[in-house]
Formats: sequence, C-alpha cells, structure tokens
Amino acid sequence: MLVILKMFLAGIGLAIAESTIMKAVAVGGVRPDLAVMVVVVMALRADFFRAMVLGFTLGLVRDFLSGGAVGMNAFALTAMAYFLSFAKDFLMTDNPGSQMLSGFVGCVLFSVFFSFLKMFLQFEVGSVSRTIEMILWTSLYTALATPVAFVLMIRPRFPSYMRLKMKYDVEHETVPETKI
Amino acid sequence: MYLPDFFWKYRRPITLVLLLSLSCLFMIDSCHRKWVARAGGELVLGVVSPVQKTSESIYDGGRNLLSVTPDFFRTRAQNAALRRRVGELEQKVVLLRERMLAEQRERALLEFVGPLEPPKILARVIGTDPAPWFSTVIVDRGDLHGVRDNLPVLSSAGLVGHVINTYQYSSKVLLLTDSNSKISVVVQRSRAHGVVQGNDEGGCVLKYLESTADVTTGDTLITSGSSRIYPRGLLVGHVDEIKSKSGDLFQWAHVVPATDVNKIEEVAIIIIPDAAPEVAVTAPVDDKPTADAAPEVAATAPVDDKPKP
Repeated sequence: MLVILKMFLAGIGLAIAESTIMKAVAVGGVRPDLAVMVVVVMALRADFFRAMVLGFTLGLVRDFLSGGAVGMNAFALTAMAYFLSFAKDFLMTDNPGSQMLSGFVGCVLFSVFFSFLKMFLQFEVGSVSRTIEMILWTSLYTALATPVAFVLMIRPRFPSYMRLKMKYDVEHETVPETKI
Repeated sequence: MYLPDFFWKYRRPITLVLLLSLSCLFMIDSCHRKWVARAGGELVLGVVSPVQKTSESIYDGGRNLLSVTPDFFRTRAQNAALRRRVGELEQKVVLLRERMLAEQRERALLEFVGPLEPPKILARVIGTDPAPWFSTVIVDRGDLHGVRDNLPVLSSAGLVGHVINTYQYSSKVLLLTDSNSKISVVVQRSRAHGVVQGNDEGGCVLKYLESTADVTTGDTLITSGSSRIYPRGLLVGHVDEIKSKSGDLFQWAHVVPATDVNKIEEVAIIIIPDAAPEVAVTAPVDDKPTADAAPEVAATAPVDDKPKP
C-alpha cells in the first residue's frame, strides 16, 4: 500500500513537471514523454510488478489532469510496461544505446495503444500522417532523453567489464607485509 | 498444480489483466460521467492545483527575467508605437461608446433591455495538458466560483475554447485547437457559414464551407451563435489559406486562431445569460468564490451540450 501511495505521489510530481517545466524543453511543439521515460527505466531496472503498478498510477494521475477519458493513459502505460519488462532479459541496460532504443520502443508502444484507445472511445484522432509524425518525433525525443532519466533515477555504475575488472583487482589485491 | 503455484507461475499476465480491467472500468465510468472520474479529479487537482499555481508563477517569473534584457530595446520602440496607437484607439472608443449608448437607448425603447456585456469570471491558467494527445488547460476557477461545464472561454485576443470539466477550485478547458473541438462559425464579411475544428497542431481548419461561398485569405471568423455553447459574435480567428477543388461539394481552409493557445495566461469564462440563473447574471465579477450561487448554476446547466468524447 505504501508503495502505491509513493507511486501516486511520484505521479503527481511528474504530472506537475510535465505540465509546467516540460514546456521549456519543447522543440517545435514536441516534448519528451516524461511518464514513458520513468516507466521504461522501472521496467528495465525494477521488477515487473513495480513497473506495471507505476505505469498504472502514473497514467491514472495523468488521466485526471488530461482531456481524455480516465483510464486511457493508465491502460497504455501498463500495457507498455508489461511488454517492455520482457526486454529486460535481452538488453544491456547499462548501455546508453540500449536505453535509447528501449525509450523509443516504449514510446511507440504507448502511442500506438493510446491511439487505438482514442479511436475506440470515439475521440477525434486527426489525420493518420499527422498522428504517425507526432508519434515518431515524440518517440525520438523521448529516446534521446531516456539515458538522462536512467542517470537521474538509477545510481550510475561503471560498465560491466570494468566492474568485473575492479572485482578481480580487489579479490587479488596483495597487501604488503608490514614489519613490526 | 496447486492454486498458489498457478498464481505464481502466471503472475505477470494476471497482474496485467487486473490492471487493464481496472483501467477499462475507469474508462467506462468516465464515458458515463460517474463518480470515479469526478472524485479522482477532485483529489488529484486538489493536491496539484496549489503546487501547479506556485510552480507556474516561478516558471513564468524565471522566463520573464531571462527575456527582459534582450527585449528592452525592442520594447522601448514598441512602447512609442503603442502610445500613438492608444491615442488613435481612444478616439475610436469614445466614438463607439457613443454608438453603444445610442443603441442601448434604442433597445430600451424597444423593450429589449438586457446586459450587453455578459458577466465573466476571470481565471488564470495554472497548467497545460501533461500528455500531447489532447489540447486542454487547467484554470484556477471552479464550481465554487460559479464555473460550470460548456461555458465559453475567452482571452483578450479571442476565443480560447470551452469548459469540459469542473472541480471545486479548478476547471479543465478544451482548447479550440483540439480536434475534438468543433465551433460553428460565420465569415464576418460574407456571412458564409462553416465549422472550425482544431487540427492538434496549434491551428484550426474551417470545414463544411459551401463551394460557392465567398471566402478569401484574411477573412475574420466569428461564432455564429447557432450552438448552445458559444454565443454569437466571438472572434475565432482568421482564414489563412483556402483549399478548394473544382467539383467538390465543400471547400475548406486553414485558420489561424486569434488567440495563441501556447501563450495564454489569463482567461475570462463567460456566463451565458440564457442558461445562467438570476443570481449569477447580476453578481459582480470578482475573485471571491460565490459558494451560494454554485449549486444553482450547476443545477441549471444544460447536460445535452456535452461534446461527444
């Protein structure tokens, strides 16, 4: 319960940041999707349950502040977290390239789910070309910003080969004898 | 297989199905306007509104501070030009005031006495839509101030949109640039009718314009008054580019909204006199919440005008 409350509060903080501060980093009306980035980081670094519950609560908070029906963002973010949590086993999440790729895929997945929900609930979707354009630009921007989210949310670590080397060095460290 | 083992083995899909089902329930509730959307909105906006208001002020303050230096010289030149313009406009205002008074006298004679200026509620924009999929803003006036669903919202430049959700201390406004917003308009010069719909790109499209209608670039569009949301004569925007093909039943045009929706900070919510009760119509426009008037306003609000989700 405490975890859910924490996530709910985090969601409120993120929603405020998205609706106020993120305006400053918008380029040509496109801004990175903060909620998607956070869920991607959690899906790749935390267990699947946390990632999905976080996606659900973040989406719900976003729904209350957004113009659509309540549950649309929650649905899309939860589904995205579910599918992305499978990628954890196949990706080297320390690598910024992998992080960007997962950010891009996550944003595209979320956008596709959301667009289908919009159509299903009979909201105006706009032209297909415009929707695809928006999905691509937002996903690209989100992908570029995802490594920053990783750095901010997860304690930075050395690359895996360096970690192994350091471990080896520590284990095989020779302590000089001291004369008494 | 034991039941706990089954749950453990399939915990991922089970959690997914549970959460997605919950989302679907919320969506159904939201489409039918039941209690979850309302209660959740109250809870979240109750927490978010004060913080959002403060953060918005800090953000605006910082942005203003940064923009002051380069703007200084430009502002000085603009100031001189604007002073000249103010002088000209003041003369026009005097002239128009004279005409308005004359019109009022004529109306009184014809027993059509009514307020020419409908009462307004001034509000401040405290947040924009966090997701890029809808174009909405949140303003800091709600139920307690007399705001109700489907009231038109204006800025100093022109129409902004209309209220789609109200909470105790805040309201959600659907901008005219959202593709879910459709406004019945008339071309001021030629009186041709059409519908302005948002294009989700910060602009609008003028649709359902007869192929023979007289429209040119730069024409002014105003609300036609045929919808129950927008009263007649509100400035919507200007025609930017006309697209028509020979043989088509309708022509259409790009429209530049009179209001730059990315830069709105203060808005006025118009209380429509026809739908509003006496108390709300005659009440002075101020910042204090009119708690007594709110239930009456909500009670008389038309429910069939809700835009289809």
